[in-house]
Amino acid sequence: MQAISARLAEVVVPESDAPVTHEPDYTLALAASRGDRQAAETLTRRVLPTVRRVARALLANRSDAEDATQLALLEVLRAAHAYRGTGPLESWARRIASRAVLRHARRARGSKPETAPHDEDVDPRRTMLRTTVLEALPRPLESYLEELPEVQRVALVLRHALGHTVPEIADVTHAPIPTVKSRIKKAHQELRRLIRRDLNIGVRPEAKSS
Amino acid sequence: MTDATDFQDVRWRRLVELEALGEITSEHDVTFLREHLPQDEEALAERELLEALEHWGEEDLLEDTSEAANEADEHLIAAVLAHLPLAPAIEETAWTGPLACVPSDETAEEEDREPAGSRRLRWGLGLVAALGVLTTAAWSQLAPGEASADRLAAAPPTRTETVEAASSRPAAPAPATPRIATIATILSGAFVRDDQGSALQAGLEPGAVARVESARACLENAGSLACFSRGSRVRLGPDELEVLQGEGDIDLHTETFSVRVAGTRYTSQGPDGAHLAVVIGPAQRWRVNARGPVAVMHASGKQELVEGARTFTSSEPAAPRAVKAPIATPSQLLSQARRERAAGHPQRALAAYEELLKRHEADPLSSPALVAAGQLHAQLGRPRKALRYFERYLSRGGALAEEASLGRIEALERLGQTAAAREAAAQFRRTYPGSRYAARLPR
Repeated sequence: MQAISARLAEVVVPESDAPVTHEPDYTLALAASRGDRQAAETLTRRVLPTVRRVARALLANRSDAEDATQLALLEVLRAAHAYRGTGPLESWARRIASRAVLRHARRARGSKPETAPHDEDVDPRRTMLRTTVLEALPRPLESYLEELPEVQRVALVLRHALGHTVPEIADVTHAPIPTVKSRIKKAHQELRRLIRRDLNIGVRPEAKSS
Repeated sequence: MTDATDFQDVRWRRLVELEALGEITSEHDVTFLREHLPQDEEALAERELLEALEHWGEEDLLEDTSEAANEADEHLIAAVLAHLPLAPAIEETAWTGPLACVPSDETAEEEDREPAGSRRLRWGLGLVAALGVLTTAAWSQLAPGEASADRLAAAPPTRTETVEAASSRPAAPAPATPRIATIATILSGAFVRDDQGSALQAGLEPGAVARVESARACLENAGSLACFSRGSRVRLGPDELEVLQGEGDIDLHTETFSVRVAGTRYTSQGPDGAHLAVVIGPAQRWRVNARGPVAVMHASGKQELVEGARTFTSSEPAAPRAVKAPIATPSQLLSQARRERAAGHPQRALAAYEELLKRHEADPLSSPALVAAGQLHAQLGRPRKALRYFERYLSRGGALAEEASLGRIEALERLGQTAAAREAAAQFRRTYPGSRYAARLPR
């Protein structure tokens, strides 16, 4: 029974019984869920930027992110019947997308050989393209994120980059709320420690630019 | 920093944490968090990191409203809708341009059959192909208007290219018929996109100057690949690329194409090609690291052949020696050392750190200098000296003990003291069970 509930939780985002405040979006999602092709297309167009942002924030590899975008869009369409119109359509889609992208990442990690990444993944030029060099920060943002343990990095990105609330992160990552808080807190502490370390002992050029 | 500003920064840090946990309730706190600019260097860096994180994943998303990006979106949407179980078959956009020679219905079938993973590989190829077509056309002295469909159609029309064009969002999907006609406009009016879709502003007629506006962008010509970082400026010519400003890496693979820096021309001379790392800074100070074989023709007319690696630099005034600062304070020396290290001058950085240790040993700032000096000695191939610095730090103790311990272990290993290194590694694992450095330790 627990397994069935867990599976249902994968595809159905619980919505409260609050009154519908986004009537047009609700109507759109309802039509899409009933097989109206035009509505499905309109819905897809609406949520595409949100879904793509989620995928790019959570997946470092751009190709993976594009694959995940496609899969997440499908998830959003399949879950359209669960949208109740009690909040913005994009916020609802973001939750679905975050969950779908994380699931895609887990599967991809499971199927990829650790020792033989695709050439594309190790191409330094591609890596460079994600580089965000800042003025006060000793190294690019992504190199700090890379140093965090996976669960902390995901929690931090979901919170700060994608704007999920702590309960939403708990829902998306299937973790209890205290665990999520602990991950975010530890991620902050670790980032501070890394910044302090870099400011104290300097940064090697390769670390600064990679 | 005064006590007051220190207190404000402490408050800011605390509120950052509360906000992250969703526990801020006061409007005053929200306003303070939004408006406070930390004075402390660490807090300032943290604030910058968090601000960047807020936009993480956006990249070129918002500004990429080009026709190419929109077209790629259409295909993504079509592919998604096609996968819906109850959705009727959707119309495939017709790709009838030179790079889309396979009928559109075949494309649709191909997409239906293909798992996303295999499509992914071809996207990358398509991007290179598209960029290659644009830049090659530009560097082949195509006058505006000459970039005809016939010329572009010379690229082998393969099935692969068709799907790339039809399924790619990221970057510059291969042009379809309506845009083929505009390629000449693009060449004269001036942009291509890098392989992440960011705009690379460029007047692409021969002789025009291109400026890199994305984090990094690459141009390709006849197998040679030149990649430049943001802010770099290059002049594109039919048989040469002149670097005017910025920083770039260039792989030269043909003798018919050269790179010019400050009047000096570099041309590959061997079948394996040559590599150039170019930096042109302010006041036209420049450096070229050349790995040959490469023919160098200097502005003076002098010619030479470089077989191995060689560095050419502008004649610049000798940099003031870090150690000569007469009455430098500990923080001045530390800042100087960090700057030198970040600029890739380990010797100068080391000199500044050692000056700090020599003149201000009792100062608290000398502690991190011990670790940094140890790391620099290790980097410069002097494990014995590195070991001494790390052990000095460890005897004092401090927040960088993890890094110092790791440095000590690596120095012991390089000195051949394997047993001691293993013992230290075992101790390290006990002390720092969750350390991300664990994988670097000897077993």
